Amino acid sequence: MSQLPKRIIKESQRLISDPVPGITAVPHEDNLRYFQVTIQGPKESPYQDGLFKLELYLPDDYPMVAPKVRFLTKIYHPNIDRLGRICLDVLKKNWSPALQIRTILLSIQALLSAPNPDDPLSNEVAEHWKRDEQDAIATAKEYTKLYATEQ
Amino acid sequence: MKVTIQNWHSIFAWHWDVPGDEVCGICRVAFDGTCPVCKFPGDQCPIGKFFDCLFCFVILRSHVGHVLTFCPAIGSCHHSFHMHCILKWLDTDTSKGLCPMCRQIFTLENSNNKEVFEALSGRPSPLEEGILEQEGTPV
Repeated sequence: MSQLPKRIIKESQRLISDPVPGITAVPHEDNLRYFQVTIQGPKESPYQDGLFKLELYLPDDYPMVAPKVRFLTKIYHPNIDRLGRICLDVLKKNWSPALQIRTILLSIQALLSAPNPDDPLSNEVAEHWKRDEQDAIATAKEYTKLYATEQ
Repeated sequence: MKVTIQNWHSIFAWHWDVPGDEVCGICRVAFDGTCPVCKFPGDQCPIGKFFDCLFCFVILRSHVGHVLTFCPAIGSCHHSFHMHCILKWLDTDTSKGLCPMCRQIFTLENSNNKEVFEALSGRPSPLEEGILEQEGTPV
């Protein structure tokens, strides 16, 4: 593997020295481009009290391309599919090299507070959300309790 | 005691005319450092051989090969980047020609940089005629 770019080193250091509230991101010791991430479910969302695990990978072309991020913890959300893939504009067409790991993780945290069933990745969940939002939220809470809460 | 100078090297220091703590908005490395692609000035730098960067110190003109590497590209939106970094970004489809910071169309503020930009990217700079007056500012 080629030498780690300075930018990645700086970002990793800052994530540890000055962490974002409710978010942790730790580089894997064998591969410093691979991060184990946790995000706390935002208050007043169906994900409250949940702790969600994600993986984040910085491709070779980073920061010209966005980090690859995926939920590992099962989650019921219209913009996150069964494989944990996330539909978020800044991860795809609205990526900019001025963004960074911390801002991307903040955007994902915000996505948990504001599900967007009109731009779904998971059609079934989005349909559920549009048909009966209260019921969909109840399912999301149930998932949070089942899969994202430490027993 | 008599000293005979047989040989001497002149030494100089330089830095870009940007605030000392300002870093490239893309690679987050100071402008006085190289972009991530160029580990050693001049060595791995594949470009710039035939171009003179008027943005730079005159004394550096003999090192034109790596001067371009350092050349911060300053957009008309006043966001600056290493020339290599911004060219690489503008080359991606995702960029849509926009400044990474403010998402306006990235146009170069400096007329000398405009020539460099065109020479390096092989396409016309998106710079509009109207803003060409501005001169390069040697440090």
